[in-house]
Amino acid sequence: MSRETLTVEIARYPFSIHTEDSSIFSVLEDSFSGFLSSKHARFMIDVVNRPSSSRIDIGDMPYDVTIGQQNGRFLFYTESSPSIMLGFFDFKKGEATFINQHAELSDHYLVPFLRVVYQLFLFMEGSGLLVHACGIVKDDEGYLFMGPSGCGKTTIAGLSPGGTILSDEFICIRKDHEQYGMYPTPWKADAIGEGYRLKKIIFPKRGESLTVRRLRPALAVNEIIPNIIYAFYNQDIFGKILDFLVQMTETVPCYVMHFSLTSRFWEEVTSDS
Amino acid sequence: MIALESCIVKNEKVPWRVIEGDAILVDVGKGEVVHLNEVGAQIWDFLDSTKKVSTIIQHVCKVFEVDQKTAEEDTLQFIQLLLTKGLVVLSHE
Repeated sequence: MSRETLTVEIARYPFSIHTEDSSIFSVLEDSFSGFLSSKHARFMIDVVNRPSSSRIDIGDMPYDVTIGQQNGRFLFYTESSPSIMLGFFDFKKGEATFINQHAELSDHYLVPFLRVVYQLFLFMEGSGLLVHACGIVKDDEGYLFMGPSGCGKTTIAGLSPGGTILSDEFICIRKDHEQYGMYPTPWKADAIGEGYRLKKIIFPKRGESLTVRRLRPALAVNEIIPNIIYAFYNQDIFGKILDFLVQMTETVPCYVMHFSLTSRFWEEVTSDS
Repeated sequence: MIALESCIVKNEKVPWRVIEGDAILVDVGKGEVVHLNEVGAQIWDFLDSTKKVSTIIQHVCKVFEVDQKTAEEDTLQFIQLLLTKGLVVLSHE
């Protein structure tokens, strides 16, 4: 078997994935189509095959997956079978390993792992976040609509003619030279390519009439935290997440917006007030 | 209800940040975020070391210019909430 490497770049953050299995390589190429890169990787993920006779259904992370820490490494395992490790991650070495325990690799198992590892690297560096949000570009500037399912993100995407939807599900926020950018990810992306300066963050709420009100940074942080993907309630990591959020909400203005289906909200959202 | 002579201290395991006068505290065990307004944040900030409950009440009286009775009622209620959530702990120093 030959060793194959794929370099993926999400939000200007390249990482490589190694595997000795050509079928795994094909799955990865499909998963990251549009996000491949030739840049130097910031970390490496090894995908190894170790088929197990007992099948594990990990579902969608993190509901059945526990992340523990041991000797500086993060360990991933299922709650139902804690003795069987799904993978591990070492931030200092810049390495992660996914252990494929199935006869065939499905991106259903691997992709959530990759997403978690990518998010962990961003957290540990304090350089970014993956969030549940709808990212829309208007006049080359990014507007991020963030909130739980049902708050209206997809509705807003549908009510945004003339805007470019990066995704109405996953968006990556990165800090770059004191500015913040929003980027599409390979996960449920509606667009590929470069990111855009993050001009405003908006928390939509359904209402009878249109109101847009600026939020104080602490209240904005409070709104953002539940929308962070895999927020890992770990003391050290959360300190880094808070630092990132404090700086971001002091730089990027945040608003709560009540709207209805007939609201002409873009005029309000894009105004400089 | 907590006694005035009791001492409390911040739970070291709670990540927190003050943002423009407000405070955000994270209960990492429960995955819960607690937002403190300016009054709560002021008390939280005052807890830079182990403090007697009565000392905190005096501080609230002075900073917010409220009478002793109001400060005592509100502060005790607030400290009880912090204790219940494990954000502060009783100290026996």
